[in-house]
Amino acid sequence: MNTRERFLETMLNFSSDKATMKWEFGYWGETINKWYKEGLKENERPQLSDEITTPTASLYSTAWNSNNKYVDENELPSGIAVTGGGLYNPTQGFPLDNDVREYFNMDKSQKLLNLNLLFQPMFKPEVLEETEEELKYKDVDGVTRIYLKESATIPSGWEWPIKDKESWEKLKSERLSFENIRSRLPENWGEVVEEYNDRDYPLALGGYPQGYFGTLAHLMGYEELFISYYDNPDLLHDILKTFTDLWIAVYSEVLADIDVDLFHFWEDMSFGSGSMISKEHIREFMLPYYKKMTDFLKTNGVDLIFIDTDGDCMDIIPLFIEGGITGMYPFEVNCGMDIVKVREKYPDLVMMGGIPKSEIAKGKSKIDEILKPVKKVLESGGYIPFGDHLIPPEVDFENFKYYRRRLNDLIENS
Amino acid sequence: MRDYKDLSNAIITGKKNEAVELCNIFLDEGKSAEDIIKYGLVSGMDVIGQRFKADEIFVPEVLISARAMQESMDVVKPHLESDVSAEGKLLIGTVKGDLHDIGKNLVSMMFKGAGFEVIDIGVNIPAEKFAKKVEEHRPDLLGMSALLTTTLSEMRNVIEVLKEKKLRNKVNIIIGGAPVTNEFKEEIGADAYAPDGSRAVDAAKELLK
Repeated sequence: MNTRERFLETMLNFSSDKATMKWEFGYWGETINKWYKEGLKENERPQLSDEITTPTASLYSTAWNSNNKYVDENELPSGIAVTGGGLYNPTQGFPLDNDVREYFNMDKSQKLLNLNLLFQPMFKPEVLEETEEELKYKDVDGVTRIYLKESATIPSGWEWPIKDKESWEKLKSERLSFENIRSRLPENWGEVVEEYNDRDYPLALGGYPQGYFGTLAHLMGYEELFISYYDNPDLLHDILKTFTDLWIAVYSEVLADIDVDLFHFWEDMSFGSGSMISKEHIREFMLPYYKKMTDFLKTNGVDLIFIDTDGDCMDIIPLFIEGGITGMYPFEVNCGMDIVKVREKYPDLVMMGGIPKSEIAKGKSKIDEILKPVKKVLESGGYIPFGDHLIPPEVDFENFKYYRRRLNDLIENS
Repeated sequence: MRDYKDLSNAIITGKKNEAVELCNIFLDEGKSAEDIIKYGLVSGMDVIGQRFKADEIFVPEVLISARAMQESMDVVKPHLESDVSAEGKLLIGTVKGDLHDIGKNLVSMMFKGAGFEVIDIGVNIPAEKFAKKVEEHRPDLLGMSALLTTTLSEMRNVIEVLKEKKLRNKVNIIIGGAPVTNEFKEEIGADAYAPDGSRAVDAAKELLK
């Protein structure tokens, strides 16, 4: 069985006799820089792309590729993510890992179809102010961001394109046309179709920042969104309806030509104490759109539909299931998430993640301890174990080696 | 006849126009600004804190209440006869390398709502600047926030710099943010960790007892 076949067998059919995916969600750039010095063999260093294609692939690329005296040309920006299979690629200008995968004989990464799911034409990246310390720029999604060069962390929003009804109407008329939907697909679509119809890895749709909380937060900023639930509910519904219809139009074109294996929503709507918004708001502003989108996807053969939401999301899992979701990740353990409890309570929900990433730094006995629940859930299938977010730099390569080899053994012998 | 309970309710439900109108009515009636703040505004935000902690309300509800509180304070503050004795003084910022401010802003709002004086020094604050501001403002509490795993270590740096400058024992330190845990608090020698703004206020009150 190839990677794609094993992925589908494990996740759709809950087969536990087939080895599940050997993936990590990913690694911070600083982690990879450090591991190269600690013994990770360097054959193919993760490569940054400076090509601007779509907001899906090229968000933040302007920042990653800026002139940065703090980043050695042979090293990665410390705060960039390096995707490790569990986090799809391409996304957000993040490079794909090859060397960790090779070292531990892990599986090929899932791929994300590179489509324009936001504004078309996308905004032209524009540097507004630049010093040796900071870059302030307008990104391809119309968000003005600030990038701190020394820490080289993911750029933070400064000004958002949707400010009110007027700015939304302008964007809608200028950049959200439903005519010529195919212009949102890659220019070499014929070749893409040919490549993807002959693939041996899972292919995904959606991805960052597509979600019904996520997209709003991404294009409005969190505070404006929170206030708008009370001050501007009609505006929120219009944005949500417009994007749902647009996404369905784009995916209709794609799914006519390619069978897709899975779908990713991005929400990140929980924190350490639970959801940031109420169940009433989820019911009003998210569920109707989830239902419409998941109905469409399932009708078109996409049966694995995931939500990426950090933090403590236990209380809102039933709402997502009601909305048609079939899987979730990354189940952050230090926020109280427990994959064994989730599996017991929601046995049909497929899961990814669930291993407390920072604990790997604490050595062998701690690693043995955190892998115990993994073994239990692996036995019931429908699970891809990996760190519950990007592996942080405090995890040294020796500890990671022990952890990953133990985890690979569990996967192969489950 | 409207009373402080009506003002509290306007704060709890986030009705800013009603809250502002009631503040003006009470001032015209000759009620003291101190009483309006204590029995109308702070008592309303106290309920918000309790409900947030009990998962009865969520971030949007806290924000609209905090907005109603802030607009009401703008009306009432010029009428204060003396500085209201605050519950305590909080200096707060997001550590160097991190530009995220929503968590910090929510914590600030909760503290203001609970009657604390809050000095927000912003985001991406280097350790030296934290120390300088502690020296300058002499707060009872220092709040540090970080969203990113990669910037967590900055909290440790701040505490080290405070120690070097002999300021550590003069301020209580509360930390928070997505990757922060109680174990990390112990590791770096902070005084309290809180997973959200409401619990941070509780922790602060406990530290200042």
